[in-house]
Amino acid sequence: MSLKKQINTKTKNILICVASVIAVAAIVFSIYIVTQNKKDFDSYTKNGISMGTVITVKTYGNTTAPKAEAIMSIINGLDDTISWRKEGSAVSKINNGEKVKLADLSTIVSQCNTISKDSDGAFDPTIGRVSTLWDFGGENERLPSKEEISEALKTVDYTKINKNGSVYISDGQLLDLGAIGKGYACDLIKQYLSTTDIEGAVVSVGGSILAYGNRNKAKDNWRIAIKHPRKDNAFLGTISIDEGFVSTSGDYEKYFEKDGKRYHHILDARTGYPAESDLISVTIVAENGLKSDALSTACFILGSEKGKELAELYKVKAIFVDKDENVDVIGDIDFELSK
Amino acid sequence: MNYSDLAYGIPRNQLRYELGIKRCDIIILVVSILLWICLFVSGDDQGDNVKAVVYSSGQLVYEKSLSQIDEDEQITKDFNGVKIVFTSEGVWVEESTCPNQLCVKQSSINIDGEAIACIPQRVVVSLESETTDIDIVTY
Repeated sequence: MSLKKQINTKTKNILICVASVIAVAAIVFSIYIVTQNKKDFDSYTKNGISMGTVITVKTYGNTTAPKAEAIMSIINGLDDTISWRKEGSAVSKINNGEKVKLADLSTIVSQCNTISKDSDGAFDPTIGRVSTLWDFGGENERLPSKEEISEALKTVDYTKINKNGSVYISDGQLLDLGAIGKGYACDLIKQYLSTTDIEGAVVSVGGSILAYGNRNKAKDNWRIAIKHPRKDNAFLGTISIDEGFVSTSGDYEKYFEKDGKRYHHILDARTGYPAESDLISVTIVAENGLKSDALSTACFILGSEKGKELAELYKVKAIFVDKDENVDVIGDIDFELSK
Repeated sequence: MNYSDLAYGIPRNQLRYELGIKRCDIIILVVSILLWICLFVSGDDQGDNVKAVVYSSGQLVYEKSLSQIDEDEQITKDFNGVKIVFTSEGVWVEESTCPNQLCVKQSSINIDGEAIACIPQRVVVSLESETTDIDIVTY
């Protein structure tokens, strides 16, 4: 072999070596970058109880602990305003006949009334006198008599709420914002988070979810599992969203059984009894917490056919589960059914 | 021996020992490194290590990894009047001084994201995992 050929072969081999090393380095570096991007930001988790339910706050990024604490304060503050059980709360004052001027409350009532109208009164925030009778989850949980329900139903009428300036209701009415309070808390939390430098947060206020920002540099979607309505220790499936609000209403969360019949806590404001639709679980994905919360309740009460129409009217995404456990996905949702 | 048996004037067989580099060696090296990286990355995944965390009045008061509990072992602890049982299979509330007993009626929890709350006693026990596929649960 000539010297020139020998040198060429040697150079070629060296080039192969160098190229291989560079290729390996590039692969290693790429994998490192991907791994780092997939790795979640520093996080902080806090659980607590407020609004009569379980709160879970997971914050991601810098100084996450103080922000999680601030979120808990926001929820507690809202509870002090809208809980009808708390003496001195704004809603308690309204229920005692006072006129209350509060921007938050006017916003809530206005949005509630719109959904009440669009659901033909199936959802109604003036259901307080009926829900007090049933007292689901309370110390006086019971099956009220027909007469009691009939009497209490006379007070249910959202059109009688005055929301111009001050909020006040008619004599005998009781305001119960339980069906939207958790979702509205999520709205307030989002407002707060948008003023901070937090990377991301996912918050559950009694199962009403706010997914905000990102948990890692790769900006992977949040994965939100839906509780299976009929199986313990199981999920129906998982929703994947970049940001937004998710609420679920089901007949399994708060209920009691009497004479072999299950009485769940989602009351139909038109009958005063637990809703008897063909649905056992409704999950709504929306861009507003109050809407997602109110619509999950309203759609549950209305049933699959009218519920679907309502969901489409509000342009929200939904997952309906009927009594035969058939799952209907409405709208474009990244939803994976559990195996 | 002819020229084709030589590289740089050295027999090829000998060259393998002298330089220790061949294309197939490089391929083996690359594959080995990739395998090592895969093992390294998957090493972060420490399996389904679910831990139970207990909050009382908003404060974290107890943590226990379920995988650290023996199969036939039951750990019972009292948190503000709420007796919680921890086993390798799950967690449940055995007794509570609360009036409605909803926490006691709730079945045991054993998957990440589940929780039992005793609202009157302000106690929450939930299951968490760092290797979970879910961020939160809607219910």
